[in-house]
Amino acid sequence: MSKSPLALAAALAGGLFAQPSVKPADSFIPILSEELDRNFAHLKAKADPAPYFISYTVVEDQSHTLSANSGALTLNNRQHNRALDVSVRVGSPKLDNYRRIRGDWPQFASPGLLTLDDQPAAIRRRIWLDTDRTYRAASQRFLRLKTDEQVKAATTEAVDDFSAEEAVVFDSVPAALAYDTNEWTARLRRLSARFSKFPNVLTSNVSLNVNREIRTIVNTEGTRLRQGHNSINIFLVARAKAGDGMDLVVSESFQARDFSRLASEKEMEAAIDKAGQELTAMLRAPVVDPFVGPAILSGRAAGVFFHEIFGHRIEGHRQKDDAEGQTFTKSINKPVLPDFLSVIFDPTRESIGKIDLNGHYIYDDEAVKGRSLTLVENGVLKTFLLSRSPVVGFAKSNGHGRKQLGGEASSRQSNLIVESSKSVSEEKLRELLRDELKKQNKPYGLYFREVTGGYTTTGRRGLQAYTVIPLVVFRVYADGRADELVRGADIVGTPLTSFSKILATSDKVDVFNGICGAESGSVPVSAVSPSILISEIEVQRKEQSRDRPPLLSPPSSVKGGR
Amino acid sequence: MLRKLVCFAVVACTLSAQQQDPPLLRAMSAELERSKVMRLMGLIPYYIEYAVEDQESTSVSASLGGLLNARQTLNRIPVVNLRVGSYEMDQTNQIFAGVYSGSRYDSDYLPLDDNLELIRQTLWLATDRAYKSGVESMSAKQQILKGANVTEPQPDFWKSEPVVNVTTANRNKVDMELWKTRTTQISRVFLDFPEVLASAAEFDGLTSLSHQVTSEGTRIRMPDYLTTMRLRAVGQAPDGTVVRDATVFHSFEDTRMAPVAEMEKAARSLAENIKALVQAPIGESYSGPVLFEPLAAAQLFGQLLGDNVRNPRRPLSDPGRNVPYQPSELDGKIGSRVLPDSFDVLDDATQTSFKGHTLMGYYYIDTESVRPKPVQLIEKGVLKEFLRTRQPMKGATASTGHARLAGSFGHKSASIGNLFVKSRDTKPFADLKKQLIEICQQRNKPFGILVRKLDYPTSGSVGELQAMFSSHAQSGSTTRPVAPLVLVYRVYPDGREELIRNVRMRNVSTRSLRDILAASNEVATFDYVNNNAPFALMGWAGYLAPATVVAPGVLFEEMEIDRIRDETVKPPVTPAPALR
Repeated sequence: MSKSPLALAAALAGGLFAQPSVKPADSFIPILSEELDRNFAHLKAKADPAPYFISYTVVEDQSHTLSANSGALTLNNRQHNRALDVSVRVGSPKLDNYRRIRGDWPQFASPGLLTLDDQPAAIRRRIWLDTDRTYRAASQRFLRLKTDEQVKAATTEAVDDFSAEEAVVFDSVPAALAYDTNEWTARLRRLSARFSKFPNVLTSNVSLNVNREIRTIVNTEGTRLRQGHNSINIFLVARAKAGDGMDLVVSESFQARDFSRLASEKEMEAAIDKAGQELTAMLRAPVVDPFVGPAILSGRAAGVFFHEIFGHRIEGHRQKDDAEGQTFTKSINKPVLPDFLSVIFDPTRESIGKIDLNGHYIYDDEAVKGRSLTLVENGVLKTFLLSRSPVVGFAKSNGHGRKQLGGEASSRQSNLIVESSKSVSEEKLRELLRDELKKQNKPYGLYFREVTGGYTTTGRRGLQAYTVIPLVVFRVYADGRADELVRGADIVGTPLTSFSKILATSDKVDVFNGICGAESGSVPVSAVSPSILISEIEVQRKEQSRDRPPLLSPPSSVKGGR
Repeated sequence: MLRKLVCFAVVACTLSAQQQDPPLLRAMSAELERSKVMRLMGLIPYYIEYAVEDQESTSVSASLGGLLNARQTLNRIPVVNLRVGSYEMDQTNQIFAGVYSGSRYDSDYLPLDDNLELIRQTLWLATDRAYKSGVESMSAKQQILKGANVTEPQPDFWKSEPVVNVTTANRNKVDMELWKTRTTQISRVFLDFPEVLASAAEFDGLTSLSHQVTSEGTRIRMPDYLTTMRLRAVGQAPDGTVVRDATVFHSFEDTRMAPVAEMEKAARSLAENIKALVQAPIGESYSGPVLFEPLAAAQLFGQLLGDNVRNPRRPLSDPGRNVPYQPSELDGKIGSRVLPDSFDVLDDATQTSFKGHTLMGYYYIDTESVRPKPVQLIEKGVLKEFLRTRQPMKGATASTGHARLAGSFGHKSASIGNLFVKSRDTKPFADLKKQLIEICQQRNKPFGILVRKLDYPTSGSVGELQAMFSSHAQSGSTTRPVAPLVLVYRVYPDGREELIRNVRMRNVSTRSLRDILAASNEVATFDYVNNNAPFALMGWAGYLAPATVVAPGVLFEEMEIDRIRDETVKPPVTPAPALR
């Protein structure tokens, strides 16, 4: 039997192309679990206090960013690293080193780089040293907590620190995304050049980020989990400065898990044109006056509104920390929202219509399976978002323990979905707004179409408040004349009063994909909501930069400038 | 008529030269020219400087034969320096220099494409911000001047002759795959040393085309290279003390790096040092003669002289305000003796090699567009001059071309190039060791101290550096901290050397240099990279100023060595995993 060298070469090449991405059954998990067992056995035998649980999380991150500005490439960065977070629990699930007391957050993780190739000696060394370091920090905090417990009066109801969960064995890593860098570079050049049509845009940018993350979790309960996640993110932004110094910005983004699901170049072109036109219009738009009155929040704006003022307050760990405001701690089975609204958190949901959801995952960062939860049913609060840190009345995680590399998992949001039983068409919602304007005797209300995110404070000290940062806002007049674009609006308010003022919703849902930052780090989330009509919203004028636009005209406007 | 014609011809000639410039430089010149007309509150931008490093940065790190990281990025980072007012009086040299309350629109990066319009667009926005910041700073300065009495007024900026050097050549490319293989290979050496707790080999290759354009007429486009390979190893003694050692290789182009075998050998000796250190006895506090081998002496001179032969000006501020400013230890010492009579110290960044060794402190032009000049800093032990930037200093009239690092209050900071420490009275190093023993015997000391290596530049982490500084603050030392010691030996009367650990220098400063008794014939050439971090912390990003110190071994008549009594971390509970 003979094989021509040519055929062999072809076979090899074919083989290479056939499996460009999926990791073969490799030695990585065995290296991790052997070192886990070895360290756990030694520490259990020799260390005092002994650990009762150890887990290793390894995040392998491959990222490629291309960025273009006005037709020229400005960035082409690739990154690939693999880092380890160690979690060690000493004491017992009843009381361990992770207890949160009076706003003192446990923080033990400090990511160490692992080799990209499965080099056992190097990986074992890193794990060994990091386990020891983490164990020491864990035991020190545990001893402090024990003392604290002895000398200080109990302030909260006794509740465990760690829930019992099933071990998980799971391995699913999607193929790496295939794309042509040259093709995308050309596309970004084309797209970013479109902003040049708008002479008032001072600076603009179109970027592509292709990311592949593989998370591996092994723990002493027997969990051996590996899951992968691909994401594509297109972000476009344009900024300008009004004559009075106000900074104006318009942005748009597109996400997908696969290039086949990503918006088309045509759609991106349209988004750029719209951003450019709106930014140009905003330069001439009047500055908003401080306003209290009825408003419509678009689905995306409402999603952010719910994420900030509701979502962060039903995170489980906030219910057991005295330093928190604990708005809803005692509200289980009580009405917290108007009775026509339900709020669902569903990490298992991959997409809504054509849009992939950022908050999707199979297992959370504590290796607990994500599940769909109805947090609020017809206005009544049913449960909290739960990690493996139990809350009074809730002994188990519901798959919402999340963290960024280097953080400590806490309960976080996934895909927030607002459902309404009192929905009308978008047109009807506008009519209702006009009715409300007449009732309140106001000449106009506001329509918030785009927001860029917000923030909220949940602490006991200080004001329980939130801010949502609107990008595109219109005045909607009672007399029916055309909407008028305004600039410089910030929504402000206090959460509880805002909920009671929701009058109705539309039947059109929209998605806000974003990144949420909190104690445990940045995690991808989504907020899905219909447009909502609110009888009263408070708007303040944005704090404004006063420096003048550039003194000289842009170089492109100068003869011979090119 | 003729004159006019000639004049025309010159103008035309300059224009055509500039038109032939490569696109990035052309865009820089064009935008700089246009920016000169900005005017607010009667203030003109009298000096504008654009600098762009068009660079490729390659980083590879590996540990125990495994690749930790490999990265190659291209970027073009624009830096705009702009001064409003005049050379006599501008917005700098005062505590509010650089304030800006407005928003920023210019990007951190210029396009990678030679898109002239967009390059100019970014520079336009950056210049606008720099100008507005200048005007704001100037107003703050004028407010200070209303209340503060300036005793010895000095101008704010020295003029400099323009320099033109435009090459059309491109920069070299670093072969990342090759360095991945090499770095991984070198890191594998540590697999033979279980005593080494953690180790790494880190490669950095910077290849750049430096662009500079100034309103004074400077036009530069030149390649600039820096290659480093850092080898680090850490161990832990049975009492918990962490011991570390590191070796760094430098070259300009990566093709001129030391052979891999040589770097492997260095890694091996590093590991041997760790192995010896973890077993070494703990030293004791000591006061007496201390001998520095040439390398350790060069490291000490690099730090003590390097940090103090520059002397930034105290910024203007409101009377009574606390100013974050530290003058040189040698401030006010010009004309005074700072070293024994037999010593001369020269900084000469124009030299490219010394006895076959490439001098890393060579550079063509500094970051203020001034070409470096040789500076006789110390002559017959007497301090003659400081290294200067374009920040005017009393008693001098021009920069020496040493503005190499970021500075404060609107100015760059001076940094050494090639520092030559020479003695006219030298003897073989072996004789120095004999002398050390003799002194010890005269003073009835059971042993003397020999220093073979300092941790300079330091290989510790930022956290370890902070711990070192706070430990120093509590040690009662009256001087600024100096770099830790790595290889220190007791030298017994019979010449035997015994490695010790847990000791550091105490009360050592430039004043200590006057206690030098003797110098060796043998000299070391010590290369390192200065940066804005304390102890030239290895791997620090930002402005980098490679330097070489050439120095003999030296014997100090008296130096304090202090035992370190800091708390240590317990060794790991779990035994180390097998390496093979």
